[in-house]
Amino acid sequence: MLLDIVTKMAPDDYVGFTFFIGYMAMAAASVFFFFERGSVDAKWKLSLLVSALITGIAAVHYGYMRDYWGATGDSPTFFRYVDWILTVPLMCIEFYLLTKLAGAKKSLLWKLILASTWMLVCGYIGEAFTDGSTGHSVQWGVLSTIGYLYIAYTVWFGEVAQLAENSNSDVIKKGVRALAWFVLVGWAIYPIGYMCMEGGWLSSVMAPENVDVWYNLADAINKIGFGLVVYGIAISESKSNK
Amino acid sequence: MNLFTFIYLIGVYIILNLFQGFKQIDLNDQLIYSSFFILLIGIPHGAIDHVLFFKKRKISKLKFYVLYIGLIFAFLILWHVSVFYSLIFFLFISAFHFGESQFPHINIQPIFKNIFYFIWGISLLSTLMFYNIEELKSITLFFDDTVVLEQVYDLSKLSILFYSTNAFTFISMFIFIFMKKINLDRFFSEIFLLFLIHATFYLFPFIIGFTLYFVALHSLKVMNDEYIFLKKETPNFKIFDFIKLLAPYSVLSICFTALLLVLSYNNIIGYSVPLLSIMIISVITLPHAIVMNVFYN
Repeated sequence: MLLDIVTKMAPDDYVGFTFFIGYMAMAAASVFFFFERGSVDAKWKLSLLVSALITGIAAVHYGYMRDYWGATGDSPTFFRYVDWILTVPLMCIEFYLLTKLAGAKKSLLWKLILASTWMLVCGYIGEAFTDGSTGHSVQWGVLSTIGYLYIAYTVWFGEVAQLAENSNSDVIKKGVRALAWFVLVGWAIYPIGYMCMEGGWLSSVMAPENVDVWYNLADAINKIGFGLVVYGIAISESKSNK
Repeated sequence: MNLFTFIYLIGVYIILNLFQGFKQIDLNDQLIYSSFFILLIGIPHGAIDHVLFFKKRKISKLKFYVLYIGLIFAFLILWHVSVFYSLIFFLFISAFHFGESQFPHINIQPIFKNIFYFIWGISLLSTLMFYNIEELKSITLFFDDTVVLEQVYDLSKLSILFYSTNAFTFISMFIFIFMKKINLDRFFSEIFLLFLIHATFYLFPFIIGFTLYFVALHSLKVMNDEYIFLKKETPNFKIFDFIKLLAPYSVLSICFTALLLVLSYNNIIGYSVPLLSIMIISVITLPHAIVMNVFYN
């Protein structure tokens, strides 16, 4: 199957190109985070394992998406949402793990998981089960956006931000702020991408056929970048404790 | 990112979703909803100028009110004499005022600070006009007494202003970070905000883009600065006290504005509703900008 796709891949197929890059980058990042667990203190090992899981799960799905794209030339909405529904809550777990040392409670973890799942399930219904009406797209888009804004608020001004502020660690403060930027800027591609789908209001700004390229680039930056920030915090904190 | 940028972002997402559903929003609807938010939040942010001024300067009440109302009438006369130059003057005052409220406490030499405020504001207003020039022209040409304003929307001159002031603003941010006048977090926040402003002014119609900026990023922020100042100055000062303080002049301004607009709509006043709206906003902006300059310094 893969060989069949590889031989058919056009040199100017930049969507396919980014699927291949995304697949390899995620796989490489996963190996890196997994092996680097040995370089950090015990309390940071779980955070790095979660980072490795995020990129590992994404690598597997990028493999599927790459093949799906190669075989059909269609956007792999189904696999993309399967990937996001698994990896985005894991990214939220990273916020909990980082702030756990400053006293984060389990309720924060569940609120973030719930909000991220809500955001993605609503987005999936809006995108995949569309009846062609704008009402459907808007309704699920609004519901999905509420989940996104809740997460953005929590990490910028809410519980996560306050816990980081009270952590007495500059590394954690800076790290949480860096991850908050990923949520604000990096994750914004997802609602924007949603509005760029066929018939969407922003489809004139970003053509629907290009949305996959942006999703692939954003996914790679968000997931690997997210993991690298966590890795940076873990290494700095481990060194300062020696 | 501060809370006001976040509120702006919420506004952006709400409007994006509205456009996703309706594709277009009728000009009348834009005006009605924008007016509602400007009257509700925009007007009150200038409703305690007298309180702020008296806290900052020792001046008799009579002198203050004579000067304040005198400036309003002087500007009204200027509007009567020349609509074109009045608009230019209004844009310049607004530019400075917007820049000052965005960076009120940046620690640089006063002369550079004032230049920066002015150019930041010009970059904001030129961006708004540059992306929406055709829409502005069509609104302007719709009424006899606003046709003269078309000269302001000259694309070649506006392009020069747009590119030069935006370049200046971006370069200033880099200079500020190298001079350690702002920290890295503030730097990213300001760059993000500029990006957000460009995106919204490009995507949204003129009236919606301006209202969103004016309400979320300017008026709410200034009101917050005012509230923090009064809270420091007055023991046990609560948000309800602040609202009580804002209410009288806000209600008075809104009623007076509504009366003038009704008179204009019924052709009792010889100015069209859009021109009269600009005139009202501009004449109350002039003394307000002066008071805020005193307040922030």
